[in-house]
Amino acid sequence: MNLILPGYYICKRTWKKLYYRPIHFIFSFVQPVFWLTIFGFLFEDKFDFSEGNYMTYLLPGVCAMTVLQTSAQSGILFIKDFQSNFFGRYNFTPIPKTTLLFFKIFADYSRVVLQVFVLFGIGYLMGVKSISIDSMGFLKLILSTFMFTYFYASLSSFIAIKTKVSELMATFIHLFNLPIIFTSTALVPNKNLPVWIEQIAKYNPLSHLSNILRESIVNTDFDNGNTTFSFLLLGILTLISFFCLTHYFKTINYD
Amino acid sequence: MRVSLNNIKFKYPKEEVLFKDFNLSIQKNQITCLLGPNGSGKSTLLKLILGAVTEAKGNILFDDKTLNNTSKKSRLIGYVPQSYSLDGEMFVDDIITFMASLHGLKKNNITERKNKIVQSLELTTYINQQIKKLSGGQKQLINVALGLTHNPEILLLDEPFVGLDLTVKLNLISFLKSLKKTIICVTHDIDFAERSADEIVLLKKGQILEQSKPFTLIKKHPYITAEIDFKEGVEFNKMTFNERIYVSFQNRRATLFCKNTSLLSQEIERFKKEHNEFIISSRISQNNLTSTLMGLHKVSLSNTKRERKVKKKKKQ
Repeated sequence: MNLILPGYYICKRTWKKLYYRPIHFIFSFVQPVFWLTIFGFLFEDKFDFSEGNYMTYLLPGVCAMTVLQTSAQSGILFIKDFQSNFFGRYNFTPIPKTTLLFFKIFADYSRVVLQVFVLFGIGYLMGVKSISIDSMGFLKLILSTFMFTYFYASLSSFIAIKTKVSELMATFIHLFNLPIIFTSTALVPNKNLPVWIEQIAKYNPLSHLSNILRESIVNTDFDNGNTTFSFLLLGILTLISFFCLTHYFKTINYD
Repeated sequence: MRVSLNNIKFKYPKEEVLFKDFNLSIQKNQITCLLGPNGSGKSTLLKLILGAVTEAKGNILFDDKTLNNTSKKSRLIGYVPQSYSLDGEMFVDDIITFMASLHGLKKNNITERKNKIVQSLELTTYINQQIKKLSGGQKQLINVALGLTHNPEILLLDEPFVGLDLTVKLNLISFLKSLKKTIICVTHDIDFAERSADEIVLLKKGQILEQSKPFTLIKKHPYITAEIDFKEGVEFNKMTFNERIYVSFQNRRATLFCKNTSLLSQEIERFKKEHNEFIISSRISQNNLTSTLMGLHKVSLSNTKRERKVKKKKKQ
């Protein structure tokens, strides 16, 4: 069975649903602009950088936060499919469940990449002039966002399929996203974090995504740590998360 | 394709056993209607064939072969669920394309198949409409269309005519007949079963009461029904009938079932004399599938009551 064509239609369905509800799509750009503006003003003179300024530090962090927010919403479509009983139809098609999930998350990933590039433009307009991306940086960006999206979207989809309740999905988003953001290096440099948060930030996947994005898109050295370790950590989390999701998806009876 | 269910054992969690050593053979390229009261296991039977119920024991054979591969099975079977199960935000064109692609059809085949279904089911006018804007009947047609997207060998239909107006229903019936496929249909539409089914399987609590052609079933159980409508103030509990006649009362109507036409006529005449002041009208219907099924249902209810009484007596 050729999996590209159904994959394309799975993506197309997700994109079209976004098109039918443009407010969600627009809001996904408005929120990062708020973050850039508010945190940009709040912390403008709070940290010392040997190179660059806080806005240059913040932009990749906000991009990472956007990846987190969009991935967290990935499970919502599954809940809607449960509510309309449409979900049961997947049971009666020959498409492998792994393929179905891969392309569903791929549609979210494509949205994430678009959001990140639009944010670069917005950041540039807001005064971040040191944006520079070469082919290696581009590859790192594509790969790191891919890994993080698959990791967190799988987690979101797992919760959605397991609970089937939109309220619990919202609770997940609100309960996890803010702590993940504030215990990472997305907004505040590692050396300025309290010691206990610094320890959490070391293993917080959002920190690692922020660090990779910083290294990839701004030509300012912000002490981004070991990116090989970052990729390794994100890779492991992605594999575990996606495996758990596909395994659960295959075992449930969702007639 | 012939479908055989052999020695099926199945129960839903925390419920009584539904199927116990259940056997059923469904002939190929025929319309088989599964009839029976609610909870008799009709829809569960469809899900068993479909493979949506995995906890069952026994064999389900397709042309004498088992099919454990879900992927192969879903290519072979088209399923039309009882509820619409549609994504209201999608457009008709998109949802048919989407489902056809999930069934592994190539792009050219998707277009070809979609056009055929749209024409056959007369969906052309709403092909570019959003599903949430369609009426219940139109949604039901889309529901049927999605079961047909991959041109399956076997079609499982669960109440396919709910919400359809007469013209659309007749069109759908003639389309289904023209398919010449193995169609297994759960329905409460007795008229459809009588006119269109090649075979009827009558179920009750997971057991087959009858399996035969509609005509044979009617001849075997030639029940005739009579209905008597009463005025207000009638007291049913004071009325008595011949023991060979089964009676049910609902609102101000008494429905009488009997295999003997003359006995039924005599009884109604007697009844008219005794309760003339309460009777508005009375009529006797011809022997058809409805009267047969109602009669069988009534007999089965009476038997159950009798069994309960016997059990009670034994206990005492």
